Amino acid sequence: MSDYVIETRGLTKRFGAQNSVSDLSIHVRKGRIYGLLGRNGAGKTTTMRMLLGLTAPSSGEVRIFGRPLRGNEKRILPRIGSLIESPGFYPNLTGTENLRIFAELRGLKDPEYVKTALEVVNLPYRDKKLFSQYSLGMKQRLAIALAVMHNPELLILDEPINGLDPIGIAEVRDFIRALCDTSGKTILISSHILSEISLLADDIGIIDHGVLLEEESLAELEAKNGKYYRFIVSSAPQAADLLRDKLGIRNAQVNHTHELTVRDARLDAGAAVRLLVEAGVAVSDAHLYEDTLEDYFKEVTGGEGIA
Amino acid sequence: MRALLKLLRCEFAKLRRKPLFFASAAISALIPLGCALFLPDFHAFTSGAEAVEGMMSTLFQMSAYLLLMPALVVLAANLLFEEQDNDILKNLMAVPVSKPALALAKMALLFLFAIAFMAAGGLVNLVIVLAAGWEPDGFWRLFFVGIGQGVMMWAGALPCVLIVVLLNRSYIVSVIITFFYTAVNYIFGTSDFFITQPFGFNPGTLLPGPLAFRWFFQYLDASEPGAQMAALWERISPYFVTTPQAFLVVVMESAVFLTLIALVYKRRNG
Repeated sequence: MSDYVIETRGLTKRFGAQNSVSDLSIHVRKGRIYGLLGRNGAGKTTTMRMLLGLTAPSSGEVRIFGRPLRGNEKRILPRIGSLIESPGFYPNLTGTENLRIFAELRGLKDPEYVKTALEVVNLPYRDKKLFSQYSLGMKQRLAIALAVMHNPELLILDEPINGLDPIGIAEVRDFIRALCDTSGKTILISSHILSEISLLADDIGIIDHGVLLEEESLAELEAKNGKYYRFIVSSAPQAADLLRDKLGIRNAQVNHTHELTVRDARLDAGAAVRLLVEAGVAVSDAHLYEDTLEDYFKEVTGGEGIA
Repeated sequence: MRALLKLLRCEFAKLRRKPLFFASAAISALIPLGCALFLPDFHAFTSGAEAVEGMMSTLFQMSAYLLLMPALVVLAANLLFEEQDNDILKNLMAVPVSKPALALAKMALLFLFAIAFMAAGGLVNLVIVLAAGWEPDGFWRLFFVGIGQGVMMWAGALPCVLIVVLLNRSYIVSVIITFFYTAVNYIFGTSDFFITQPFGFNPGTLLPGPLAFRWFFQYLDASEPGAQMAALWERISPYFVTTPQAFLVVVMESAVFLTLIALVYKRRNG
């Protein structure tokens, strides 16, 4: 029996000649929040659609609850709650009426399911407002209510905070966290907003151009986000040689003639400055920096930052 | 089957505040009322049986061909496109609901609509006949013929529904196709070339317009026909189709077109 609630193996989706998702292998552990982080168009939604069987993979396999999704949809999908892309509901019906339809389809007879789902997202039960009259935030809340209404073991939420105001974002974040912490739900959440992922996720997968670049726990990533020193000196190449020869620092990186970066936790900055000054290299600035998750994202994607 | 019934219940729930559906249902009373108010023949009826005959005949020839048939296709387009237009298919598929089952539930809803449409039209006729102080002699037989014709019109609308789903175009294109199909069906249904063909593998049997005409016409009272009616009766009576023959064609065509509609709908992106 697999330890993972979601496991993909070499998942690939091609649209024409272009790979939207390439050889993706993600591992979502039970009772954890997994954040799939990537820019818009990175392949997050396509991945989530494949996890729900909404889009057929070109190759590779999706395993959920230890079983292949293909051929087991009727057994697996009822145990999942999902929100994919924009909220889609019948515009001529109220929120309650919309949820009642899905409750009927899911075999949820008790009206309490609908009532409770609306309550948890702060939407009124039996309100007369039609879905077509909802604000974007209300639509998003209704979509979250639909995802949780049947008390699923696994939630797959694609950009769930889209359209929410700051208070709504905080509420939804707390709600998602509580679902994991108190109800033991496993949650896969995607976002292009790095701060949201860093605030919510236990495990993070970084996806870019359809390729999974990193998959680690938040703690591991934070540990990786090393500290580094940046020196402004009269001659960076000379300083790099000195640090290597005298202090054994092998990863001093010359950024340009006067700037040097040292990514080595063992560096004694005081000793380094003393050494450089004594050797005739003028040191005009020495600063300790700490990578943020965004810096790390930039580093692994080799590109620009993320919101 | 239970899943299909569940889907059908949901289809009913989705009809709330859908003016198109209720307007389509309301027009079932349009032609009977129009005939009663404006048709000179109506005031010339001398007995209840004649009034029932005249009004039900109008229901069969006008309401069914010219209102029910296009209403069914336009409603089908509305029902089959609503999930796609509002991005709801993904939520349904995640339940999971199968697309073919969803399409079949929508067609089942239209089946009930067709029956209700003809039943409502028949009952409006009954009310008018009673209000005029006549005995509705022979009404119930023709009422059930009307229900049967509703089923035939539903089956006859399925090829057009398939074209609409296949083209996957806007409502305007669907409406144009619908009215073209309705006109062709009506013309064929009144054309001697089509209604004087023997039962078999030919357009007079396979096309819904001629088939329905060759079936319902035999149930109209021909005991005291006018000269024109007598001539028509004489021409087409050898080509009448029996109820089992008519419904065999309906069942077979429905099975084929429902399967095709379900398959085409399945290929849609969720």
